[in-house]
This record gives sequence, structure tokens and C-alpha cells, in this order.
Amino acid sequence: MSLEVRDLSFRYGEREILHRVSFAAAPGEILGVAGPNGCGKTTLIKCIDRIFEPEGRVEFAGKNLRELTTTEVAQVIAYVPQALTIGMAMSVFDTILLGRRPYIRWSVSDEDFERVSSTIRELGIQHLAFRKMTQISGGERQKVMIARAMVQDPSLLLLDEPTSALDLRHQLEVMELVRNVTRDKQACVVMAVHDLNLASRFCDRLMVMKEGRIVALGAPSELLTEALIREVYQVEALISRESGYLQVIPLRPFQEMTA
Amino acid sequence: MQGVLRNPLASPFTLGISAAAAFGASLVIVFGIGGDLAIIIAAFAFTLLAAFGIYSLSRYRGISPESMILAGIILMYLFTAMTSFLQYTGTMDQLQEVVFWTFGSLQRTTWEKLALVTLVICICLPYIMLRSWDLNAMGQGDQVAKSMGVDVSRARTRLMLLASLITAVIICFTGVIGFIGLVAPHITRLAIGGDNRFLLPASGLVGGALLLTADSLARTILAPSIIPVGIMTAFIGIPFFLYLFLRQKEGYW
Repeated sequence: MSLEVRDLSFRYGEREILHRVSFAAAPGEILGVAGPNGCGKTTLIKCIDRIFEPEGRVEFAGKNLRELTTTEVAQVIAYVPQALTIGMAMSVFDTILLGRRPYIRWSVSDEDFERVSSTIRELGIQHLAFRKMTQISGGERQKVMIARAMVQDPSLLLLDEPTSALDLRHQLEVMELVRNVTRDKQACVVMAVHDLNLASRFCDRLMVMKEGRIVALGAPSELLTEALIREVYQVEALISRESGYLQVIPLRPFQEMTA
Repeated sequence: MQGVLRNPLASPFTLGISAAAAFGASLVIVFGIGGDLAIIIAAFAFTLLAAFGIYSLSRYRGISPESMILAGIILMYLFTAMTSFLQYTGTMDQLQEVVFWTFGSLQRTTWEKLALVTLVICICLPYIMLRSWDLNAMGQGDQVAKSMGVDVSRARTRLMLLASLITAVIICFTGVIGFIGLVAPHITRLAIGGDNRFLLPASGLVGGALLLTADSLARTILAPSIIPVGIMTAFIGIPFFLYLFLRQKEGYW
């Protein structure tokens, strides 16, 4: 079941945020979306999830998402936003259980409980299960949000900067988690990401955007060049492969020679 | 209402719904248009008017909690000012009646009125309960709720209108009994947690119990004179609320 986005455009008042964006993502694939702040990464993700209603077509598994009801969309797509609203002090378990909302009318079935418990075990967050959301750290909260998205049984997982608030260890843990889920469930992942090093390590393909358009799309190791970084981010950078992973080392803001 | 608007200060009081009812009642009292029935009808009509006012004002800004709260506060000040103006122009007797109405009282309650209130609640409550999952999801933020398949604007609008309807039906018979709508949910939340499936009916029970206690005390403490119950609810609710508020270390909001 693959995702296909065709000619997606979105304007916010007068400003055009996305301009005829087209791409596809295959099952079992992690597609990273990178680019400078304001390039439309988050908007793109929200358009795919129908939080915004864009022009153009978003198809998943051959179905036009606009023709599904919101609950049907929620059974296909799960979304983990970047800025987390810490709402009322619910327990971690109850928060994850919310992910079952697209399948629940009122009463919670044994299957719902079972899915939540097994996901908590898979993620190794048993010790948090009955803590309150307000009592856990940012990294733990991010894992809980991913767990909530996972119990939603999505075929398409949309992540907005899943690692931006996390320390090094949590970054790796969360990304490995995402990768394992993607492989096991053959889900599609579209992930907005700022950290190019992390992106090159965990994304199968990377899509680089600037000003609402796709600048480049392909395997991170081929895509990320010093010239591309200069063009997109206006930064002089060095690409190093010494550690075995591709690393982008930013040097200085790029200044065009005006002589 | 606190759940719908994700705000701990939301209540019929703070959103101008009570103020609208008071204005409706004052209007009838000061202009001497009719008796008790006219007061009830006017209070009810203005309460619904306020609810629709909040709804239409916030529609311009996209049914967000912030826009609803701001619209509510605008209306609250408007109705309060108009009520004050009516009080200013009224005679001493009328003034006294208006003030008494705004204190609230259970004395004019009859079994017929109670039956009507019960009927309305019985009709509205199942729908609200059915939507309590949506309300839980909305506690995580509008966009997350949307991604879980909740039609947020529709859910917020309907739940607000239903909550206002229930308030209107009660308040038009009793007058403004403040404080319970604000505090009962907090007391309940501190006791049983934030899951709206249980929180909603339980806050109703806690609110009822609080009112009953307040009213019983109001009738007996200075007997034979009766303290208006609206004053009593605050006197009883505040220490209890303060105790829970100070004792609980973890934030519920």
C-alpha cells in the first residue's frame, strides 16, 4: 500500500506554502522531508492527513483520501505532531489508548487493551504506563506519542520532527523504533526532519524542499552534496563519511560574492 | 465546557451565559412585562442567544478554544453592563428583585420544573457521553484529535450548544447559582482523573451534591431566614476546592 501525492498545492491566505508537490512513497519505506524552516514540511504533512484541505490529490493504496470519512482516514493514517499539547493529566496508558479512538464507539474492548499493553511492551516503556503525562520527560513523552500512533494501526505514519526535542540516546532509540515498526508492519513513513545526519542514517529516501517546492528527491547518500546544502540552506558545509555514516558539518553561512 | 475549551476557567459563569440569563430576567423585572413565567422565558431566550452569539462570533476565527472564550468574555461584559444599566434605572423594589434573582434560589422549584430539567438532561446526556472519546482526544490538541478522526469544529460546536442548553434550562428556573459549574468539574477531576467518560457524569453528581449541601445549610444555618444558595455554594465549595488544590502536587492542567 503506497502513498501517492500529485500536484499538491496549499495557500494560507495570500501566501502559497506548497506549490504542485508530487511524490510517492512505498510500503516499508521511510521518506524524510528536509529543508529550511518555513519550506512547507509541516504543512505538507498536515495536508496529507487532511488536517488542512489542499488542492491536488492524495492517494493511499489507490484510494483518494478526500473521499474517506475522517474516522476512515484515522484508521489509515496516524500523525505525531511536533509541538505537543500537554492536555489534562491523563496517565500514559490512557493517552496511548486514545489512539484506538478510530475503532471505539464507547466501550473499550479486550482487544483494545491488549493492543495498548503489547505496544507498551514493544517500546519498553512498561515502567511509565501508570505515570501521568505531566510527570515524564520530553523523550519519554515522544515515545508515548509514537506508541499512541502505533496502536492506531496505521498503514501510513506521519511524523513531524520526532527527534527534535530529544537527547542523543533518545534520538537513536526513537528512530530505531520507527524503523522497526516500518519494517515489521510494512507501513509507509513520511517524516519531517531537520537533522540531516539522522536523516541520512535512517531514511530510505530524502526529499529536500525549498519555498514549497521539491528541490531534490533520492537516496540521502547520493542526494546530500555540498552544492545542494549551499543552494537550499545558504550554508557552506562539509560532507564527511569518516564515521561510516554520512555527516553534514556546517561551516559558515554562505555569502554570495558581489564584486 | 472545560474539556471542550481545554481551559480550566471555562464555565457558564465566565462565558457570559449566566450574565445573559441575568439580563433577560432583569429586563422583564424592570419593565414589569409579566410574572414569573415571563422571567423564565426571557432568561432562557437570552441564554440561548448568548450561546449562539458565542458560536457565531467564534466562527469568524475558526472555532478555536481561544476564540470561543474571548467571544464569551465579550458577551459577559456586554450583558453585565446592560444589567447594571437596568438596575440603575429601576426602582428600589425592582432592584431588590433583580439582585435576588442573580443570587439564585431553589425556592421556586416545583416538581414540574424539575421534570422538565430532567427531561432535557436525559435527552442531551447520552449524546454528550457518546462524544466523550472525542473530548478526550481534543484534550491532546485539536490537530491530534483531527488526526484521530474527530471532526473538531463540529464536536466543539455541538457540545458547547448542548452544554449551554442544559445551563439555560436550569438557570432560567433557579437564577444564577455561580461557582458550581466551575468548581464541581475540578473537584471531580482531582478525585477521579481526567477521563471524560467518567468525569462528565461524575461532575454532574458532585455538582448536585454540592448544591444540595449548600442549600440545606442555607436554609438551616440562620433559620428562619434563608441565605441565598448562590452565596452558600461559594462558601462551601471554596474551602473544599482550596484543600484539594493545595494538597495535590501534580498539575491537572
